[in-house]
Amino acid sequence: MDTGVAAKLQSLDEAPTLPMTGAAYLPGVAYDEMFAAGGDVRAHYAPLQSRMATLGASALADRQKTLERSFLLQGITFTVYGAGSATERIIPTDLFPRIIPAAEWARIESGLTQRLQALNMFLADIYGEQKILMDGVVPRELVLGAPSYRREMQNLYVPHKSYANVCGSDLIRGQDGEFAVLEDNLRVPSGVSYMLANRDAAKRTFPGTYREAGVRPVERYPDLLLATLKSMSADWRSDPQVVVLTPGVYNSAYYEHAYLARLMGVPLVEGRDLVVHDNMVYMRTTTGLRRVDVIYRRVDDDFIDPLTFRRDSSLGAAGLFNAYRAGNVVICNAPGTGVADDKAVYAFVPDIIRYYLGEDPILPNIETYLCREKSQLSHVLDNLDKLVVKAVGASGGYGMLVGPHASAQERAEFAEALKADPANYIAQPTIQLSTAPCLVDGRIEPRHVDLRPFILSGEKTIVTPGALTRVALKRGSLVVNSSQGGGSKDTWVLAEENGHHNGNGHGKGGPQ
Amino acid sequence: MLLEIRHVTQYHYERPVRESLMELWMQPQKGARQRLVSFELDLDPAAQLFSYPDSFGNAVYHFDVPQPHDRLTIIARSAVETEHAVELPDRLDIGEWDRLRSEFVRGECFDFLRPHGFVQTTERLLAFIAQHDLEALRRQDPLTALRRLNETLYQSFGYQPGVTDADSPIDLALEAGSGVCQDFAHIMLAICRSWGLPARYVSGYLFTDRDAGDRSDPDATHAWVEVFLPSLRWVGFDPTNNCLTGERHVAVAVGRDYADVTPSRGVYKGDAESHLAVGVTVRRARAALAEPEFLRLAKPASFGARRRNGDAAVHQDQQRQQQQQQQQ
Amino acid sequence: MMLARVADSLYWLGRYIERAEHLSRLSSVMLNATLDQTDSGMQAVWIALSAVGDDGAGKVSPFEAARALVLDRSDPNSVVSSLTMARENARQVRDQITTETWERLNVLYLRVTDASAEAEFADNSVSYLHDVIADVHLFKGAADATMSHGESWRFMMLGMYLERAQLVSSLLEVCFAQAPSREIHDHLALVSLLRMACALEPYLRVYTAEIEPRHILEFLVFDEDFPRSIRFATSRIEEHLTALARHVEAAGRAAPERLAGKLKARLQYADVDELETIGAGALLTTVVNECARIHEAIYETFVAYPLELRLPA
Repeated sequence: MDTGVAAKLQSLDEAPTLPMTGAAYLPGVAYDEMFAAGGDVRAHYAPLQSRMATLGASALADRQKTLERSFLLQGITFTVYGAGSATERIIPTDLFPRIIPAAEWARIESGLTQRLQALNMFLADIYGEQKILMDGVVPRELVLGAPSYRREMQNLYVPHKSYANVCGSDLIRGQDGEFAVLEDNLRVPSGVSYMLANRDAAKRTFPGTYREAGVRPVERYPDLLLATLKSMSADWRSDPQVVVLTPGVYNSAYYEHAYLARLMGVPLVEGRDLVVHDNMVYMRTTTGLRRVDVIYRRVDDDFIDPLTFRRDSSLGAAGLFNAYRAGNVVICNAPGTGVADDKAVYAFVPDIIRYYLGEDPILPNIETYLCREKSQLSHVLDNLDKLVVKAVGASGGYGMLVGPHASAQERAEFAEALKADPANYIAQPTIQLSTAPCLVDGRIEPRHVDLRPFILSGEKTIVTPGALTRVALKRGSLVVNSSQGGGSKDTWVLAEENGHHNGNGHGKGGPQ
Repeated sequence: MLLEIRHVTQYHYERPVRESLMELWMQPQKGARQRLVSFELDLDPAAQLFSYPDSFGNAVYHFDVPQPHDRLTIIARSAVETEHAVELPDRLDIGEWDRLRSEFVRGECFDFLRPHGFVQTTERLLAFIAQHDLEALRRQDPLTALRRLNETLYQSFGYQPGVTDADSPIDLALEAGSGVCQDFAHIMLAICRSWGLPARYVSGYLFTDRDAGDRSDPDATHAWVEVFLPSLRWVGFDPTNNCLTGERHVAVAVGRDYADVTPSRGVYKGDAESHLAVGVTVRRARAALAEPEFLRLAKPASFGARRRNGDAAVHQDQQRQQQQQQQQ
Repeated sequence: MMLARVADSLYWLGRYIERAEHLSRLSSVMLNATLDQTDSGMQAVWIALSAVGDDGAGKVSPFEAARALVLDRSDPNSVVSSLTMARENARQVRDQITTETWERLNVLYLRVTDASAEAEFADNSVSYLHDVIADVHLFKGAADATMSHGESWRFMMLGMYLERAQLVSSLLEVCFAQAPSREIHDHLALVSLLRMACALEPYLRVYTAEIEPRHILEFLVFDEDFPRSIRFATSRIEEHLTALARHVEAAGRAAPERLAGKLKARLQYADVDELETIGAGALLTTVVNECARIHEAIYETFVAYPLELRLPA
């Protein structure tokens, strides 16, 4: 694989140069978001390119610094816990937006809508009649045997059959330029605050370019989220009280919880603020107890209710699940959605889409080997140096082996783990994620990126026209998770009419 | 047989606690062979009762007590009419094993075919199986094998309260060679499931008859095993008393193991230890119901205390939990 | 309507901010006063350190004492600890305070916890403290100008004024409630005292440059318009509590607004003559004790009330 990369590298002479640094930009073998194979700038990147051309290296560095400073001031940080100390860090943010033309987005949007619709139907089925298991489309063991399958959810009424109200699916663009789904996140997906904060920053960094490009706004996310949450409450509650449930200030995503609560204008509660009495959920306010109707929880299933789930949890509210079961409160996302984003179930999502919708998936999956199958396990073991192997239950880039980048010893150790518990692993081919230009140490260099759009699903399903683009900041690295040194950048989804600049001359005012 | 059951559960707290929430698996089943005549729950302090069917079809009652209290008493009274056990054949044909492998059985009984919680195939259990040559039983039809297994368990273990408690893994009873009904049921479940026999834990009561050779403590709740045989449906085995279940058994709830059907469990707020005392009387009806003669002290092991965050360790633990929340 | 825990955090945010400002000012005045090697300077040091309950007054150099007061993270009452706690509380209620307000506090926090803080302090401590105090004022200004003056803001103000009433009372107790032999008469030391209460310029406008203990007491205890007088603070406390308690309908509660009302009345109808007759100490002790009672009543009414008294019908 490494030799392949080298062979396909463009020679220095052919490489496009960016005027302000004069340095070569070498996209390499992967699909580059900005430059086509021949080195031409893709049309939808033209406005950004012309702006980049007029800014000098020091101006760019200044803007980057201002950007980071503003993140630090706003407290858009996550906390890294070491031995006895805690440091707050900002998630590294790159100032260049990643731009997606309207036509590509349309496909992503319809693909994700289809996918989430099917996944919600899947959840309704496996917690109801279990037809898909009876029909043998998905192995029963994978679903009923998964720790994330919650028997407590069986036969419960979920409004609109919307189990995953907030979904953040991870998409990647392969060498062929096509988007594929790498992972669905249906439990408590995070990152949407970075999408909003990045947008805020990008507007300040490249105001003219932003205006000229015709970018679809993402700022409505908080009120759409609130509308989605309200649509989940019982019809007879006229003005449902929505709250955001956070594990607390020590959680690394606390900033996001507070951010969303603030922008929705709803209370940010911790488990200790909630009281369940006579099967109703209340929050303790200064003027007494107040009924809660909808809980947007950012606490894992296991921790939401010590009476029903983990007995030692101090993060939830005892009795919450019984109130939910009785229909007196709504928990979003519904408990037990995790079973549908399990990495082993992932492999069956195309089948799930065909089963429920009778349609072919619009967005393809990445080819996935289930190590629980003997034949697939031996294939994986034989090709460890070419594959990415992931633990089924883990997330956040933990419990993962990137074969081509691992040492022989790491691979040997992982092989042992695999053999000891094959059902716990899946493997996928190493995909060259697409690259996008990033400012790294004063130079513009290609870095691998993925794409996490956010889909809301209540009465309606809405794909936010924007996304979090996660960046692997280490050269050549394919791991974009923030816990593993990833960063992010703003994502511009272009509106149809403004997407092509050879049209009516709209916004041709030049750089500002 | 008309049976009246009085089941008293009392929690004592060393200091007043508040915001207690409790769930009860105490209502006897309603079924073809067991008619529930009446069921009532008395709570002190008084509280509003709610109920729901759990995923195994058991009736669960729950309530909360918000105000400070240093004791909580639950009295469950039921009257149940039971029928004689169905006459079972002496044996089934050996083809029953194949019927057990059908897709239908594996689908319907998924949860009762795999290890869960207390029901684990441990090294010690394997040694026990080898020691008694239990694998050889699988050459016979399932019903015969189960009868032998039931008998073997009865003979191999002494009935002795206090060796194990509500939270003991089966290894403790296997090692000691003694235990109580809960341990025997878990051991039998583990063996049945390893054989591919769907088997579930049953909690309930026994109208104890010493003359019939019952070993069970008459003042306690009881537990046994039900095994699914496609030709006979669910068949009850009581390894504690070396019998199949009959009219003296009153089934309350079924689950994968004890933890699914704990008679009472709950949480509370307050920095105080709790002590649990339980008393059960099962009488033929028409005789007046008396108070249980004494309350047996049990370890409050199934009772999870929620302490207020006061001391540093708890605070740290909370920080840890917050940090541990999965980030997707 | 707001969460009880949130009210608690906002209340403490107010208290910690006020504490940080007060300690910074004590340190600053103390360091300034010691620039002249006079007895007055040493008296100022003694006032400042006694007011913060430092028994070891004079054992270490004033600079070292001030450094510890400002930057010692192991001391829960230092400026840096207070600001850390203020920010921690603000983080807990991040959704309740405006971005403008939060950013001011965050900048301040980053300043005092920065790796270069020690060096900057050593380099020019008075200018360092000047900047810290100015940042606190920016925070207060941002809160006043951008936050709704509703419940959130009131709880924050409540914490601020309660803390202020207690801090000013303690400062006055040190100077005027001790044995007569320790009473402060030294002109420059009294000027330092006024500076510690941030009162010098407003005092001069009322009393001119006649610096008299009697006038100082009158001004810092009874002045109606000076924001750091005890009467002013207790009036605000009463005002905020009355507004906050309007929606609380629970029988048997401790009624903090009534306690505050009584304290306010006590100060309204007392004057400096009475103070001289009964001794300043008695009144100041009353203020400190009543503040503590109000604090507890706030808890029982708004934060840690017994659930069973507030169950919905």
